[in-house]
Amino acid sequence: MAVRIEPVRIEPVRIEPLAPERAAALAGAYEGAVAASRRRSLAILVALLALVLLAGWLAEVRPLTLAENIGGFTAYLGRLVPPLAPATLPADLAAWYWGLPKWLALLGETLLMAYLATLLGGIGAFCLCFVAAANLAPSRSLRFLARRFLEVCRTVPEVVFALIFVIAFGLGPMVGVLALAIHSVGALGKLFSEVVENIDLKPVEGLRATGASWVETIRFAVVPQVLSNFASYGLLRFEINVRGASVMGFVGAGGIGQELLVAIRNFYNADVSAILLMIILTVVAIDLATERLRHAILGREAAR
Amino acid sequence: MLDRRTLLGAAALALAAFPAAAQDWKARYPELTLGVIPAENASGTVDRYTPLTAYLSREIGVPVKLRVAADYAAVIEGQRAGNIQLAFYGPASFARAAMTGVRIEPIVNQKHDNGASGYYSVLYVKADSPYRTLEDLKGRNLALVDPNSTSGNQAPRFFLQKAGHDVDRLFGKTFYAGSHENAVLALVQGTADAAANLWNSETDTMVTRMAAKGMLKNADGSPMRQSDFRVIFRSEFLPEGPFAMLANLPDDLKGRIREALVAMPRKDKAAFDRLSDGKDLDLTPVTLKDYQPIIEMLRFNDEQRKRS
Repeated sequence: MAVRIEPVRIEPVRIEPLAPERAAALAGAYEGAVAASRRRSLAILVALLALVLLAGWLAEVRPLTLAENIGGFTAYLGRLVPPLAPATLPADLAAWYWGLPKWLALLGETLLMAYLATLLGGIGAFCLCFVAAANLAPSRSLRFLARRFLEVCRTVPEVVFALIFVIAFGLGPMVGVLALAIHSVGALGKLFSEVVENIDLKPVEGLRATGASWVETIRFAVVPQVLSNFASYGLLRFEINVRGASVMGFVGAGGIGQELLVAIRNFYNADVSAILLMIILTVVAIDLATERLRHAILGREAAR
Repeated sequence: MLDRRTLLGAAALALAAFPAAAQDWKARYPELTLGVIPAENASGTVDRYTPLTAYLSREIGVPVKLRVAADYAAVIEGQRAGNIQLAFYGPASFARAAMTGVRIEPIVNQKHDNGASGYYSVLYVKADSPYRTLEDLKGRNLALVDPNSTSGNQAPRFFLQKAGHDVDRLFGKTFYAGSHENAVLALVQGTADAAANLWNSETDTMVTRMAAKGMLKNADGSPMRQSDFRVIFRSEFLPEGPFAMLANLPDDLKGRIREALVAMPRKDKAAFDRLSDGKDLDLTPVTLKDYQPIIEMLRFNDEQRKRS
């Protein structure tokens, strides 16, 4: 059956202009309100600026000094790179990377530390994130405890954990792995629990209605929804941990850090640039690899 | 036109300008910075050097500000950038600064209570440990101080090499504790089996200084003494590190700094005694030549590093 749509006639409505004094009063009030809000914004801006200046002054941050001495910084970067002439390039490169076997071994150790720390941290964060998420936590007090625990894990700097563990467990990469893993639990746990808080709750309700336990609900209603996000945060963390593991050697916790520290402190400038370049290239490689991995995971999910 | 009046005027102007030129550096350096290597932990270093900066401010006529650097290299970089005009170095960090092109002049160094303007580097182990010789330490952990520390890194490497041991091969792990005190603490805590450190005389070592501050305790809380540590290796004599200033400071200012430092043990004995807990006798003038052996030592170590 066809439906005929009747055109609707709209009666024009005449709007009476306001009495001039009323209009003037309203306009005045409007102007006043706008001006007040502008004044407030301006006051906040001025206060903010004053606080920034005060903070800078107290912390002895001097932008003018920075501007004056920026040349010193670029000069340092210039000093870092050794002379490389096109004619003698292979020899120059060999001299630059004289310590390549040693550095590669140390870099390998650094990567393994980062890998293990990310894995352990990821497992810890996975176990805690569902308890810490507002929409799934079995009880308020458990959630409170989980959240505070994650905060402790991520607010204490890795280097501090490493220093404590060096005293407790002695020197070596294990200390670095533990320190990085604990920080990863805290950081990933927060991100994971936020992912969990954003899920669609309908599958959860569906499973609960069948009488599934809490663990079963998590496994079949929540995990499939969050896994790809977890993987992408985990891979990002791996990248961050590679950088973090590079510093661990500073406190005797293994990896390439100590070699880098010695080179910086002793002004072995060519070595500093050589090692830094190796670390940067490694992080670039990891970034490219993890991006492909993440897309592969997402693609598989979309195909399902 | 050149007549008597203009000549007189010019002469008067020149006379008036002369003291102005002498005070000219005060406009360029309204404040000086004394950079100090962190041989001890930062608060201890501040206590030690604050009377010295007060004395220097009085003598030089401009405020002298104290900066305790986070590590030895920071003092070197500060001098290179010109932000630190006056610095207290260890011999190796001074040599490293001179080797890497910082134009500096050494002024004075400290004379210890045994009459020597220098000291030794030692390897400590705990007295109750089984280690008696260097061979016993094979595969054990060594706490060093800072890459630029003389007694805590460069001298042990150099003199152990001469004794037929490569530090990196002899020890299982070596690490930099950051300061002389931290290296001793690492040994006490058991993080390290041996620690490299400075040794001025029988009665003035890092251990006696830390014991005086109550920093060294046995597990049962009783204070540790020098006899709780055993020296299993001692280096040859090392010249004490200098106070040094930038070579490009105005001559007038340099003269004042030099005078003030040379006269300090007599002019302000309290401040001078504070530097060494009253253990030092005097400040003696030094020249770049006194540090030539240290520069050679660093060159040797740098070469050795690439060979091993």
